[in-house]
Amino acid sequence: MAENRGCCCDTESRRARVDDCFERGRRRQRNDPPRRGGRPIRARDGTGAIFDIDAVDGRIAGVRFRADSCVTLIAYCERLAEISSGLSVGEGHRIDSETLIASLDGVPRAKRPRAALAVAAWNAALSRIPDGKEAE
Amino acid sequence: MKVAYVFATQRHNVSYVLGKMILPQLEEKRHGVEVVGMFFFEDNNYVLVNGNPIGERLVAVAREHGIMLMGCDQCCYEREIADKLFEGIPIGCFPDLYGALSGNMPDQIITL
Repeated sequence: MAENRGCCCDTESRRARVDDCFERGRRRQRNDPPRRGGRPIRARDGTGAIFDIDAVDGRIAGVRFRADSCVTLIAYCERLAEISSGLSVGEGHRIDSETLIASLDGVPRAKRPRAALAVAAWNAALSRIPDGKEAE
Repeated sequence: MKVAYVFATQRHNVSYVLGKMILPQLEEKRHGVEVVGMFFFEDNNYVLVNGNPIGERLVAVAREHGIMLMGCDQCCYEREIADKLFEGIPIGCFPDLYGALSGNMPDQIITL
């Protein structure tokens, strides 16, 4: 399915399955791990995630992440990486938990707070990009 | 003695071992040990899908006896049933299973 890159909130055309995102996320973590250091953002139960985002000319050009081995969290992190591709940094900041939850089918209600953790880690990485340019 | 069951193999386990042995014994309060938890792998998770007739009996007896039921999260996502389970039945992986059992630890974990 072709990705719609027109708007970060256009979730209808972007829905995906958890299982597929989990598999792609595991591959992304294995093949292209984060290059920059930093501390993961952690939930109260200790589960954590960290993003490493490249931006070129104010647009998101590359996303790497490392997340603890929670299926739902990895799937949400991968989904963030996918729906953010090509967006401006400002548009990336506008992705919230609700947008992320709406973009991924089949997550039971009890597991949806993982989306907030993924978005918190996402925003922490985005905030390290000054003025929409990639941090040196 | 407290036990937890892990339904790891498929074939006949849920319909026969659970449905015709363990469950009737629990319903009749003659199973012989206290069951504190059950964890389900692979296709065995279909018993936890809302409306499954064995699952309905299982959930009722679990609520009566305080038995923790949990489905394997990866297995449920792969089968697209994670959001179709009986109300209140969680999914998770080993850390979630151990965490859920930690308040009422079994003496034996039996893999079926």
